[in-house]
Amino acid sequence: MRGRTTRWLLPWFCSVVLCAAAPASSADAAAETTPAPATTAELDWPTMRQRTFDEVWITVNESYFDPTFGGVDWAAVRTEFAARLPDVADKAALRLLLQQMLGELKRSHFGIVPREAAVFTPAERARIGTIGAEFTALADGVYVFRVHPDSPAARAGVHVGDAVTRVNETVLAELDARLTEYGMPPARRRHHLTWAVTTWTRAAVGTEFTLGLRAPDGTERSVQLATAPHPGEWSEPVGNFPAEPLEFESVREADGTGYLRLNVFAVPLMRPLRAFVRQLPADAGLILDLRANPGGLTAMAPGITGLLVSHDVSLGRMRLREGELGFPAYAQKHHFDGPVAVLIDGASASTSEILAAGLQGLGRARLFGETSAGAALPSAFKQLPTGDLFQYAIGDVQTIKGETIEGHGVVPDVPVASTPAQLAAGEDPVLAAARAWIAAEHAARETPPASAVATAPAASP
Amino acid sequence: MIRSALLLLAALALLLFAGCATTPASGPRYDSSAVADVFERYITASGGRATLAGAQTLFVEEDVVSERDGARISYTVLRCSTTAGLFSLCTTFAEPGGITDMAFNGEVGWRRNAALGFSFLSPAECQSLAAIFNPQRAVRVSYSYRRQMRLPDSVVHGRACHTLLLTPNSGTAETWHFDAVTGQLLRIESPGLTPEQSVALEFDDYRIVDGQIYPFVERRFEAGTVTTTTRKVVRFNRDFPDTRANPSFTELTEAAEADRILNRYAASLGDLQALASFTSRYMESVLENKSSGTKTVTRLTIKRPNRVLVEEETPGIGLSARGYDGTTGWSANEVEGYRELTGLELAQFLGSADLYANARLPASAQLRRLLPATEVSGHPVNVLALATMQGPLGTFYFSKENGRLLRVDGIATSGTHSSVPMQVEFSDFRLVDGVIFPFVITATNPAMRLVTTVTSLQHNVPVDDAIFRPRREDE
Repeated sequence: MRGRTTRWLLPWFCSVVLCAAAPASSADAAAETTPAPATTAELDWPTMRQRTFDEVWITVNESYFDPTFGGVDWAAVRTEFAARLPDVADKAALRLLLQQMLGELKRSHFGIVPREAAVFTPAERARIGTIGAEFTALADGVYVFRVHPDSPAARAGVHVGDAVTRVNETVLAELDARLTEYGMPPARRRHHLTWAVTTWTRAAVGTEFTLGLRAPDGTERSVQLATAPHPGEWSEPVGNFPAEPLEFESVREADGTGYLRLNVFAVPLMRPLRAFVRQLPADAGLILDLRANPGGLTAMAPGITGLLVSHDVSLGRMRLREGELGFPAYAQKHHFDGPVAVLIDGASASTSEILAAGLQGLGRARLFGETSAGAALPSAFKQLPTGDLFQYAIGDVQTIKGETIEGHGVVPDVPVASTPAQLAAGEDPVLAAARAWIAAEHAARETPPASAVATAPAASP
Repeated sequence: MIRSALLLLAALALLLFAGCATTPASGPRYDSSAVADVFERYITASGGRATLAGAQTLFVEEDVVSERDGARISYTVLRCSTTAGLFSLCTTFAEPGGITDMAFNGEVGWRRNAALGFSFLSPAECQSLAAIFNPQRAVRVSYSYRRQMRLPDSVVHGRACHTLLLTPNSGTAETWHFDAVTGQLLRIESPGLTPEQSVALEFDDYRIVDGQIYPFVERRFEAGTVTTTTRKVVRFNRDFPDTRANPSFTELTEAAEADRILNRYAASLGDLQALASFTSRYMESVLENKSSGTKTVTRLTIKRPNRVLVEEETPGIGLSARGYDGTTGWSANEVEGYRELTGLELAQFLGSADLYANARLPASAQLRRLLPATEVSGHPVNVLALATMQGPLGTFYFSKENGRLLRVDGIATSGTHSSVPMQVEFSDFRLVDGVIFPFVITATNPAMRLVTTVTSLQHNVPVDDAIFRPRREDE
């Protein structure tokens, strides 16, 4: 290796930079329902507490991509929060303090994940259960977006279109008000609330909790639920990034349109995704549903793009504290040429946003739905002395147009908002809009140009 | 990596004109009249002895383009030279390289770039460049080779050629092809000391300039790189512009110190002959990303002349492989599937296929700046900022104790997309097959810390070429 030639390190590093939405941020720390059991520590508590605090503060101080910390006096933040350390008695309290400190940055992808809530081995998969329901943020709250058959949510009578008003003792309206006071932008607030509900309902298998729901007709009710094991496959942990339950849906619709949905960006999903896209005929359309996808492995965004383009392109760049990394997407030999629709909503975050913005900027896809979360900071995970995981952003993504996604989100080409009534009726206006567009695209390709008719030769006498 | 064409030209000149003096020692040395006949026709085709003998200075303005697998570097050269061996060049690269002057004033030769540094031209470089830039080059060629033989006629680009085998005082024999009809020199082939060093030169577009007949297009073929020189202006007997400032005392002393440091570095590598003799390398290592906790097992296989395979396995991501089989560069992994490497990305990747890479630093570092000494991990070090004429290589820290390279501060690149400043430290040096290698490499940027630990390193292992072939299963 000489000078500017650590070339083999960079492509590899890019592949493990993660862009997955952070766990609950500091403003939500009070609503965390998972108690933190004490760890077996070789260090005494004051030492462990101090070292953990130092590691978090120093890591941000040294690696945060913005040397100005967005105008935040990071040194003063340290002073303020260090003064509160002596009163921190246990890991849960320390986690709260650290979350609050990280919250001063007002950026996504900073958070502390309790080790006991993370899955690194098959035996630990019981730490993340599921109720079989997915949520989305509409203009006025968090709604049930999907209920899997034969799931705890289905059995408890949770319906698509129900608004979530409460999880245990946490009232979402009150939380929303606190976030508003805190200055969180609307897009991030919607994403945060949806992510919070999702996170809380992923508690350890067997955890019981109460969901407060409001039906489309205004009827309020509460349901008792207990989480069950995830029925599908799991990803493998990548370093300190824990394993995730995987969902992958691929459907060839009656008109030949391909529909793809993935719940996270994880390597095991790349192979079936690639196989599905490659078997689509050139005259088909593709709908890529990224709604409620919080992100994952950043490298999958260019990887998927490569299946959809005929030549090498760029999805933008990631600005680091020093230097920058590009997002080149290399065209695959058997790429898909047909029209591509991407569905996004307020819970589409991180790698979902990078991919959506990239395809939109290239003119390769048309985006439908709602403005995305605006939470797209590539991040890394490290383990703290307490054993908890610390997610921290190391880069800022700029699209090929030079725009920043963080705090702004990706704006769809065709805004389509669902209503609770539509959800309740089983309608998906976003998907319907995408289908209609694909049909129109095909019709336009098949219709001969008007001039050919106008210049038809006159009949001979 | 595409290197300075001038450096390559100098290397070729060393091969072509090894042992050449500025004046012939004792007349031409022909093995036979057949050889003499070819040379005489060549001299006639170049303008004749009288015209050539009257050329005292040569001025050339030329554009140079180096290309390999789609990656392209271009620059311009203005040069003046005399039969007395003096020369002055001005090479202009795109930024960050800028302008580099090279000159020989009869006593000392040097390169100078205002931003990137200064270095001596070695006596051999001066001699070679003086020979190749000599306005009377055509008439002096025959004096440069101790053995000259006529070979059977050949054909170059459809043109019948008379062929000579010329052996310099040092280096391998060269094959020269002269057009059988015109006598013009069309092609030179030099096999080099290693297959990677084999070079071919072709000459075209001969024009009459001030009575001489001079090639206006020259192409150089070396290890997949094609360098095309197109001359825009050629003039003989212009006044030699002595505008280059002679080196200052500071430049001279610092350049001498830089040479000493780099020579000591080369010596610290161990047995360089052994290094040059390696035909293959197999290395296993573990790359730990401290920022994310990942551990990647890497297996690197290199086989001369230019085959390389890099396999990386990361839990949770899977297997990633990149290779070059001599024809096709390729990459295959779970995320991107299969694709072929081209252009700059391929050129960068092939840099990892160089078994001799560690030893090339002194030759690659054409420009040097001596920086204040300091310490690296408690070890006193000498510090040099090194560069090629195209731009900086980085800042290099050499142990004062033993000359070893302990740290490099540079820019890590990937294609044209990524540029990340990295600080790389080398430690745990071990002797393997006579050569010293670092077994721990730590690369740091504010966003990442990567530690590579070598777990196995072997040379001259049998390697099946089949392993380098593209893995198109997922194409």
